Amino acid sequence: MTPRPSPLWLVAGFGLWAGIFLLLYGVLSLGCAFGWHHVEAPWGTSSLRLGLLALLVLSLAAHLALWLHLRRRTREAGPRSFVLHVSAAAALAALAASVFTFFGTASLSLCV
Amino acid sequence: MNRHAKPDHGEPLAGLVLHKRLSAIWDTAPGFGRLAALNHTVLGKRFMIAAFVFFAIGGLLAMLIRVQLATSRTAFVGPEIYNQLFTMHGTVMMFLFAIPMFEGFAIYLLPKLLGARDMAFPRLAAYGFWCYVFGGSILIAALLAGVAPQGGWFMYTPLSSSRFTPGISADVWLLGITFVEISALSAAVEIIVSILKLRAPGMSLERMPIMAWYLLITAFMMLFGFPPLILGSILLELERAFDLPFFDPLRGGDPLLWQHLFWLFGHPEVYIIFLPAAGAVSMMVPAFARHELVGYRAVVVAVIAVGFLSFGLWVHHMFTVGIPHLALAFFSAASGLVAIPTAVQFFAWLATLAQGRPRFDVPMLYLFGFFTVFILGGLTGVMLAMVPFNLQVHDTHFVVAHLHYVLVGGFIFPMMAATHYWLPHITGRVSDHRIAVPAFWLIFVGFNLTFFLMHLTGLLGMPRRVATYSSEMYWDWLNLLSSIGSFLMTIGFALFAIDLLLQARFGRRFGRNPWAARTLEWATPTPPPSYAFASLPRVEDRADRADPDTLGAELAAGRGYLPFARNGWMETLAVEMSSGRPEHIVVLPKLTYLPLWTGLATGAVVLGLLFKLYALALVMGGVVLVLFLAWTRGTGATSDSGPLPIGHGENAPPHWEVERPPSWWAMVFTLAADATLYASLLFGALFLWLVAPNWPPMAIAPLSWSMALAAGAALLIAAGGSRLALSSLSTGASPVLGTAAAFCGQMGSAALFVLLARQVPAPDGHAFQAILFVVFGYAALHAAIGAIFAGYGLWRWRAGYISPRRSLDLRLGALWHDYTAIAGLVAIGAVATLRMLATSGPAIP
Repeated sequence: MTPRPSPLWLVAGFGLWAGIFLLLYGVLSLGCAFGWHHVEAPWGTSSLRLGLLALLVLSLAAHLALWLHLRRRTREAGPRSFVLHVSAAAALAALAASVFTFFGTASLSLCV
Repeated sequence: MNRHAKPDHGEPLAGLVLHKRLSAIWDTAPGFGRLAALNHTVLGKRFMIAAFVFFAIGGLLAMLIRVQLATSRTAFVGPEIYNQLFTMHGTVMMFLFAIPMFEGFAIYLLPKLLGARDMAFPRLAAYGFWCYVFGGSILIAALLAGVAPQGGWFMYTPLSSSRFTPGISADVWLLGITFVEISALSAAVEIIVSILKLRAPGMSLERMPIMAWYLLITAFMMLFGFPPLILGSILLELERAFDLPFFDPLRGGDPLLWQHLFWLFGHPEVYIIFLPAAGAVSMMVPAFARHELVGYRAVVVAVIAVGFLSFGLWVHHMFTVGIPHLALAFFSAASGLVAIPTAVQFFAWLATLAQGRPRFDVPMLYLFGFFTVFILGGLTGVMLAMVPFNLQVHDTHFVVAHLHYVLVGGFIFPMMAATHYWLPHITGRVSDHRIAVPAFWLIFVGFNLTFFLMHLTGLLGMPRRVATYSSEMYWDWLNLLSSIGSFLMTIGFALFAIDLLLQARFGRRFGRNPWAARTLEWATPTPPPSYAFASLPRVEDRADRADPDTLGAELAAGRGYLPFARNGWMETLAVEMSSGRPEHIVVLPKLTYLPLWTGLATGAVVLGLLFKLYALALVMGGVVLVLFLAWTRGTGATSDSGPLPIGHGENAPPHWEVERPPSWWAMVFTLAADATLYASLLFGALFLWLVAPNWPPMAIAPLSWSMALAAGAALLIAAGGSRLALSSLSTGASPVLGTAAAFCGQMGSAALFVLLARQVPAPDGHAFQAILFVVFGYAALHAAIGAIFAGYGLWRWRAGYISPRRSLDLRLGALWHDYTAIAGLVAIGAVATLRMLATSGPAIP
């Protein structure tokens, strides 16, 4: 018999969202304090924005990977696997939440 | 027979014999014996009654506020009293009514919903109750003595610092609320473990009643939400009592640190209040719609989402303090986003009503109030989540209107519905009176008259927390109508209370399940006996598809699990967390006065701190420790019993013979809360370094590296010793050597951390030194407690409670030693990092 999936999967998606939130907010605070937004970077942007965007892209990729993993496991496990179904749905919702919460990283003023 | 004797294997009993035997074991004694009550039904009712009393006090304070604001230039009370009124109103409603009400509700209902006989830690629930009552009494006594807190329910610094609030009023808040929070945290741990472990056999996660999901997530939110506030309260009290300048910008502190710590708790708190009420709605709507909840899985996802998103909103209380636009956008987006999972729940309830054949009764009327009022509060919440609008109405009565729409809509109305829904369960009587209907309309109309108009006064610029206003502002008529509305609402609440009393006293008795509900709590007799179920159900389908009428009769006849009165034990079953497979028998503690004495001693510690009688506080702290150790008398067993029959031809061992009983999980979750507090402290240190003015400090404190490394080594010896003890025990050898090593290691590291803390020069000179002092103090305290754990393990071994099968005491110690080692090493690393950072501060202050 296949072992039941860990209930911790239920919070994986939004746990990732919370981690990204802390990471971006922390890097933004550090960057503003240390003046990284004044350091020029390629494409006419600042190193702070570039760093934040890089972190955001990586984070969204992690979200996507998590969701794809859970979706694959859900399909393998069949319709009765409650924990995997709910985890996959939560992971997808968390991906959407991350896009919505952090989309301003690309355009909003950084340290004003 | 006690647990020291060889246990019998239990003979299945049936019918009245079973009930009589169980009653003899589980019932609370009359007279003074009531003070020793541990039963969840008794404690749940006590929590709810006490919460209603505090609600009445908070309501009375609100009436006084509305009298003062009814017209301009009112001379009813002066500004100082007015400040106490609104501070205590908020404090009482949030800390002494809403949270304890939810706790009582959960404690009363959860075991019955889950098919268990009690909560996992009845003594902890009793201790939490006494902490709550004593802590609340300190606050109310301060109010009567005219020294109540007056800095607002959020106690912002620097207003609440000793310079601007001398005397004890702010200390009353800080110590009293921390006292009450012990109750909240203990309830959180108990609720989590009870839901995860103490369910009926067969009740896998997907079969749990939806209410259990709501309460589980709420309890986790409390576990991670309360520690930042507890830390903030400790730091502010340290500043007030010993001048450690965490929030003083002149000495490297920052008042904004308090705001962050407070709102890290404060915003999740709103959802901590809302979610249990929403859980109750999710139970009531299907009962009245006569259809199971539509979208069970979607609701679970939504509740998880709310739980997390609510931790990403706290800065929307601080939009005006000067935070970069991008960060504001994160918090603004998250604040708006939380409306979506909330809406998912609303659509699930509406879909359930649409799919079913709804019938009307009193609880539905109050649910109508919830739907309308909370949605309006949610809409203004989305408005306030938008930064430009928030900046315009910040600190005005618009915010007062919004928060009351959310809290009264999201908690009071559903809890009134829940009271009418579950009161027949509590009393065994249903109401023939229709007072609840006019009561509802008075509350509903009065509430909207009071608070809808506050949106307008807010938009007209009326600020919060002003004792009076000028007639030239043209706010008079709106305020007068608000005050009239508040009196209407009060009459409604009085009728509501009268209705409850009449129902409890004169209501008509009924058989079982008056609402034709499909959940397990209605399978108990009503009012419920102390043991809830004579025998425990086996759950074969989702728990909201039960047939309580048939099931109740079967369980009462002893045809479920544990139809025994074995050894005089108070038994219930623990299951595997995911599958609901029966795992072990949990034997609960007997009635005891110890939680009461421990609560009283804890109260004496608080009073000692409040009146600066630190010697008394220290002595009473020792008494608390001794009393906690006394709790362990009679727990566990001195001989192995092996698996025992649990009914249906199955066997399971008692909890002291398994690897992970409820107490092991409780330790894990307690350490999680502890780690959250520690992380908040380290966040505070980094925040001050990054943001606070007057950094770097004039001089960087020297650190004895040899001493720090010795402390770290001692912690590793302690953790290693505890593992050696367990390893020895598993091979049948004595664990004394390893446990003694753990004891010596912890004693040594505690002493070294105390010395390191004492080496910090002038902790009152700069926040940097104060932080180092507190970090070392945290490590020392944990090492000292670790030494107690190790010493306790040695004593339990000598007393015969520990064997290769019965190693729980050592494994609980091992968890603590591991955590302490990690925390201690992090402390040393953090201090080293802070010293380095302090000399290389940010480029732009």
